[in-house]
Amino acid sequence: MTQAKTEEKVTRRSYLKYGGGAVVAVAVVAAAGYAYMTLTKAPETIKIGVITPLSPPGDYVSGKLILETAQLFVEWKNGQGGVQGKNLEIIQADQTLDPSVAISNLQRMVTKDKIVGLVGPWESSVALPVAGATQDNPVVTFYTYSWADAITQNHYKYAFRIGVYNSLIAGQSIDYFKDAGLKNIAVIVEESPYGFGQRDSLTYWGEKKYPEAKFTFIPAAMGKADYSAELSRVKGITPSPDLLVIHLNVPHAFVAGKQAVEMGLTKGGAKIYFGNDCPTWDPKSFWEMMGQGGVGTMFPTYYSPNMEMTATGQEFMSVYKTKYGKEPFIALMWYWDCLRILCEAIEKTGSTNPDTLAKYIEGIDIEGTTGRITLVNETDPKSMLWHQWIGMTQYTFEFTEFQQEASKAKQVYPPVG
Amino acid sequence: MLPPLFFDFLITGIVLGLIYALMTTGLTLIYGVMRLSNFAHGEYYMIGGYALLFSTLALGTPSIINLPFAMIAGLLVGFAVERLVIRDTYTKVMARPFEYAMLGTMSVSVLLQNLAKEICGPFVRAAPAFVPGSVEILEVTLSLNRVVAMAVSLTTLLFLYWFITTTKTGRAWRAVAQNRTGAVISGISVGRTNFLAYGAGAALAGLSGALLTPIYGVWPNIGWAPLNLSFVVMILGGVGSYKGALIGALIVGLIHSFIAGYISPPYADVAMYAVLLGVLVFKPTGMFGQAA
Repeated sequence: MTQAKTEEKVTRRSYLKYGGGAVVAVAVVAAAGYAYMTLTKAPETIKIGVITPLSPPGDYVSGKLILETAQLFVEWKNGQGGVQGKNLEIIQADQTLDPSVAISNLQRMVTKDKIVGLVGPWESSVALPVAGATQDNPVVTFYTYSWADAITQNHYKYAFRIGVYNSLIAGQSIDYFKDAGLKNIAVIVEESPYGFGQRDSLTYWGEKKYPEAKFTFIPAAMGKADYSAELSRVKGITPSPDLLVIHLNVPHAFVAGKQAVEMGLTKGGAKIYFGNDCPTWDPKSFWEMMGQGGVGTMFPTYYSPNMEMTATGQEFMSVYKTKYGKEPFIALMWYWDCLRILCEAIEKTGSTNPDTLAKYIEGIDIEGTTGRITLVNETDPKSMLWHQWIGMTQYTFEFTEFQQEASKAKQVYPPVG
Repeated sequence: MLPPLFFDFLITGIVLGLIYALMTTGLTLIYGVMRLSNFAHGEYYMIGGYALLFSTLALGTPSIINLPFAMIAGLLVGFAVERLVIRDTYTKVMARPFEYAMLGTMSVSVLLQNLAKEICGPFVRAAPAFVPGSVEILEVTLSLNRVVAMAVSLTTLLFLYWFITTTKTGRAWRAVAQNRTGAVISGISVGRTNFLAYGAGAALAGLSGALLTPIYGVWPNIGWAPLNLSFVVMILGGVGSYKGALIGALIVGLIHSFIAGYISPPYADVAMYAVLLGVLVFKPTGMFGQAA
């Protein structure tokens, strides 16, 4: 009975009434959705990718500083009106130490996020495969302190290095060793593209520039905390070395340096020379680890308080110090340059097409933080001077006081004045 | 006529071995009692290092006095992890409890590393020296920090041996390790035994981390290398055997020192794994391990 009553109610009129109501409701919802989408649509931005080590076992110490510098640049540039009226936006991802993770992040950033440039790849073991992957995932990519020669030697179309590389660093370090008369040199090298690259380059340049010098290379596994076995081997070298070079990443370089002092390796007058400028990256850690043993240690770098900074460099120093309360280390200055180069390329070409940008950047001529930046683009397929800036000078410093700031250390090479 | 630097490498190897032994003992204790491969062990080591550093900075007392804080930190975190992550694997019915527990400790490891990075910062830190300076033994220069680490390791290992062989809790650990069902029938609470063993293992890792912080420093992922070495030592000596942990650690320390010194450091690891493989081939239970 009830069922029949219900069936009676479904008439054409009621059908039209409810059906029409449903159509109106759908139309209202659709209109509201469209209005919402239109009104709340995020303003278009220019996206810059940062793939850098942000977690262990990658060098997240450097990665954090790189990311902070990129964020600072975006904040600074957006404060000036952005690029072509659009704000910059950072898309970040953890590089890790696994190239496949970094490459998959690169693919996502290029295909989904539509980044127009990439900075931040750090350890050469990952930075090099990422450079190769940009061939299939086109985006202009910048390197500063990824030292593997092959990053530029492979002549990748979109990879640019505004920084140093193994061959250059080793060759310049040998100039100092020769000038200082250091002939018997022990070198602890990390078992990585960085460490072995330094070993090969020091051997090559040693024979060319300073054949009187004797190098003893002691490889050390990555990630170690105890270097007593390696240092015992240094102790066994006769005659005793007059220089111990440590080519390890942080924090291992500090750990090995500390243990070398504790084992008495510096008692006979031998000096410790950190193969990179890690003491400038985080001076607090350096002095906490090395203690008084840090006095007398040396390091090469590409920034000197005695050098003339450009107006761009002075501005960056000021912006960075205001934000973070400390001085940036040299790689961060060069990252700042990379980001400026990218923005200039977009502004001057009016394009975000990777081919257009890469072509422009090949011929870049811009004031960098530490000097004029132009790139060398030799077409010889074996040359590492491809998309490579070479206008930097290496300086060697020595700490002369406990807890001395890196900028106050004594410049021992080239001589000041 | 001994080869040059023989005593250098011998003493370095013994010191390294005793340090490795303390690292491994906690892992051995946990495996022996709970049959659990504890992949978070390296992080308890790291927590011990930070506990020593921050307690020393906060209290201003000599770092050697603050070693108990490292053990307490390891103990408390160990207790929490056992209750929150591991306990379910032996109190509830599940298909693959060992795999669950192993993956659980792996997750704890990643979590603690990243928490440490955020809370303590990514940079390497070093606690002040226990005793500054160095000492000459047979013309070998040893930092006094290493001497302290070696002495405390040895004392702790002896204490642990006494504890396991004579106290009620120690006997319960041994009973559960030997025959879990029999231990339950005898009235031993497996839950309590596991809880205490896991906490004690974490406390030992915390102590070894603290002992080595003035020598190696501490950073968020420092635990990986000691964890790796501890597993090698544990398998070499015999899983679950304390004597094996000590002898295995001394062998690994001496191999590292002599091979690195007389041949080349990369061959030290090759030699270590070759010895490990040899032991596994000829005595799969390790030097002092027992067949199940």
